[in-house]
Amino acid sequence: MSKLSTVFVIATQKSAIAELTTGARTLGERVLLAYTGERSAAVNADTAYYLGDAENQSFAALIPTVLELVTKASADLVLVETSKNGRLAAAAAAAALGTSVLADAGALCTDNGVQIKKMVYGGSAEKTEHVSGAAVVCPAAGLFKAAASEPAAEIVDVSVPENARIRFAGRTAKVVCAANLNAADKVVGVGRGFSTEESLSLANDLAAVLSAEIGCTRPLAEEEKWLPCARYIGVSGAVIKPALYIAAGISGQVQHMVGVKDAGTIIAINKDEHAPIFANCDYGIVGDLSTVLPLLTEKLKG
Amino acid sequence: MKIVVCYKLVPSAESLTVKSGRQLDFGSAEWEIGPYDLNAVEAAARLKEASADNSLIALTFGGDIIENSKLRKGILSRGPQELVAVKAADAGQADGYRTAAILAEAIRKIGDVDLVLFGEGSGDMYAQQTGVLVGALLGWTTVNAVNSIREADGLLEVGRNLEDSVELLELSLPAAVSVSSDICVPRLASMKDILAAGKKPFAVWSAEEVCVQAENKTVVDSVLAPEQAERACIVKPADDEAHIEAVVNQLRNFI
Amino acid sequence: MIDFSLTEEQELLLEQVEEFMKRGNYDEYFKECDRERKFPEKACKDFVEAGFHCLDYPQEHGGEEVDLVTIVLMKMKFFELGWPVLTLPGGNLEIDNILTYGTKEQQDTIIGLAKSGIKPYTLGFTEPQAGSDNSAMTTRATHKDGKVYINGHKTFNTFATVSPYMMCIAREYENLENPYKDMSWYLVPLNAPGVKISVLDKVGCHCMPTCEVYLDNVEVEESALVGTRGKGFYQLMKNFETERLFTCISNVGMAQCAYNDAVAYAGTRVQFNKTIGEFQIIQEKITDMKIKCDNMVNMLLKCAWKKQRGESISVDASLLKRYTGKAAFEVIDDAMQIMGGIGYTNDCRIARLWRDQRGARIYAGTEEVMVHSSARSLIKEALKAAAK
Repeated sequence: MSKLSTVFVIATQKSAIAELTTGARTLGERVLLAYTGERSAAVNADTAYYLGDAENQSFAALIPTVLELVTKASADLVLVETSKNGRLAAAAAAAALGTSVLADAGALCTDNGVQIKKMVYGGSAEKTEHVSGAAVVCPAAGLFKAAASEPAAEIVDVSVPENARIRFAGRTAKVVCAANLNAADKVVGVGRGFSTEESLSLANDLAAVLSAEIGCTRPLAEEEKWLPCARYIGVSGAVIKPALYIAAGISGQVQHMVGVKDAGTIIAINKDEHAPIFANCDYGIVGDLSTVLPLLTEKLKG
Repeated sequence: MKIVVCYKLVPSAESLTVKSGRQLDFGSAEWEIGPYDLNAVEAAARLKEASADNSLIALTFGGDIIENSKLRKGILSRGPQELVAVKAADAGQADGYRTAAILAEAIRKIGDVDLVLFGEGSGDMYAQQTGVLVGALLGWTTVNAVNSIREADGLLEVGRNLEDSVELLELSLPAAVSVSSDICVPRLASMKDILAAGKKPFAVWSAEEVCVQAENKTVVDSVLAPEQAERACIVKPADDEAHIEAVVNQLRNFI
Repeated sequence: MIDFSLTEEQELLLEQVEEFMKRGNYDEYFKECDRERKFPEKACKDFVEAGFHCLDYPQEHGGEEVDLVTIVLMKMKFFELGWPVLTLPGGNLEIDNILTYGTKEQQDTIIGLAKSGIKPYTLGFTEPQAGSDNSAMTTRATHKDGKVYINGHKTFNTFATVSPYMMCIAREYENLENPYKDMSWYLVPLNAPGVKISVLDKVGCHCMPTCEVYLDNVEVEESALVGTRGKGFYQLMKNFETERLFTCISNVGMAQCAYNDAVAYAGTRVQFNKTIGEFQIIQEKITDMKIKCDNMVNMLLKCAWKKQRGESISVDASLLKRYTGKAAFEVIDDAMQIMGGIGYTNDCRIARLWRDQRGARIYAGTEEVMVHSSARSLIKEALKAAAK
């Protein structure tokens, strides 16, 4: 791939800064970075623009300033962290540059314009699309891996004028879900087959004996709220690649299955023989969760 | 407050089939209101109902499907008082930029809008960008990831649900807000609302009428169903002891 | 001109029912209620909160202006999705009766209860010695000092333990020549002194308590009279028309529920290296089950349509009750056979449907009495037509 002239990275998380700038270095001659958080986190950039720690302001309020930097830089490619704030910045940059955002890119190629691949139709298909001219891309998790990083050549402190339209009124830290589903190599997923919150203990017991993490389908996180949203696996949640995935009480709709399609071994337990999951698993047990789960747990302990 | 809520009609993922060459077959696709849009419509309806001075218009951009009367009643039975639909034959191929440009112009044409709400992402593409693009093109106060929203003294108090914190913001109007899907559970339409839906006003505008210059910036190279992963699919009932043993042995490999 | 299609509004309503049931995820809960003989309170509370019962009462009282066919379609869908028979909140029958015969004050009271999702009254018609033969009933109404005293023994009273009232049919013992002109309806509060209620131990319908009620000199006001004194028996016949129509909704819904479960099973259960649906006897069962389901649906909706138009359904409702009672039982029985061994376990909802539906061939008019109530009219009609 021939290198682009300028790649502009926008990120707020230390890990994303490292990953995106590593990727940017392979794609562009010149790498610029606009970032918040720890000042020292700027790596792999020719010039890094520091916008403050963004603790007592919303990143949304900084966006006009970020856009000024982006348009001044005449970037060929704007690489934006795929977070809520990142998506906000990406779309603002795209509007300013007169283009669409290439979001959740699972693959990126700069031979013919900027081309990416992403999942669409709830995970039923993969779309390949490209733009000619300046592009804005939000990469999917894992597209770029951080390599040995060197500190940015130059850090410029940017003063951010107050944003009259977005006033910061407070921030509450979230108890960050201790689990990192992406890092787990064994996951037990729970779905609508569990009719009460108490019955989830059956899955927890099995997960404990396997040292597995717990994941879930969207209704359990968003409607029932039995599990935090960070544990939700699916097209609008976590997409994971564990070596082992046990789907318990999960019907297997495409929006969930796209989150685990690359799992090594999939074992499904469901009392409904017609559940679509049984066409997408390696081993399936048709039976009641309340008998099968404790049975498996007992046998594994013994 | 004059509120507009945008939604998209999409083919339901379950109704799509794969034909030869890994192409998707839309022939027997069932169309629905995008599931994430329903959360936005509910949030918008609640805001409208919070004050007698508030009004709510539903806005969509699409192809022929936007004239389907059952889907129209479906949206109008969930809170909006009227519907504006912008139609283009090639709406199905419109990218984020073109869609946002057209929606932004439609909002300008509706006039005097204070707030436009969007869902987290469309049910089919889920790029999560249209709402923010519209806000940026309109030059309005634009935020996403909103999971709480309240009108207070001409300003909007919102909570943004970020990865590791929830931030509270006060936004000036006019604003473009994309809500997260955990903002509220969409209502079930009551029979009263269903019956009233067919009598609410609706307008269909052509894309040309609304906005002349808004081309796609993205070119789609292909849309293909993924290669089917080969799974063993060894499925047996729970009382098959040999099968249970086999599964347990598989699991032991991972301990 | 016959149009079998649903209106878009009807389709949207049915989609809301499906969405409600999907969110509620009630299968396990209903199983538990059946096993523990509990009323499905949680599901009923959700149902009322969602406002589905608003279709049962008139607009003047804040209800929805909806035709009977739509109401029937909606309720049928709930039963098709597994809702336990007799427990669907709503009060079509109770409201229909009170609108036909009650005073404004009585209507307000009864409809007020229905609006909160409470079954306003239990029907107090049957007695140990008066089942199909209603005229053999002996519960007595005595008028003294401006009050009415009810003495007697009623049985098979649905939900008497919870409903605030009983619509009690009692004999006045004034017209001794003609017992058919000697009965009256009284709205009896079940928390009055002298009322004793016990629960019957039934084979099925465990989610709904069916009771015996002893009335020992229960005092009510003269204003508790519903309709006309002495005309209770004729009012009862009118009640039966409506009662039969509404009873049959669950016959049809339950049959469809069982059919759907059984057909899906036939298409996936493998024995002798093929799905059981590939064996002809199973195919024959499925074909005949479908014929019965379609017939039942058509007959039910037509009956509702006729009543909506103000036409008499006394014969139609009897034919409907006789046909759907038997046909639904056969469909459910065949469904159990298709499910095989697991169909006979309570883990499978067809077992509950099988136990529950059997009662409908008996209550609200036995299928044998339906012959009595229709054949003579059918012959009369035929003679009239021939005479033209």
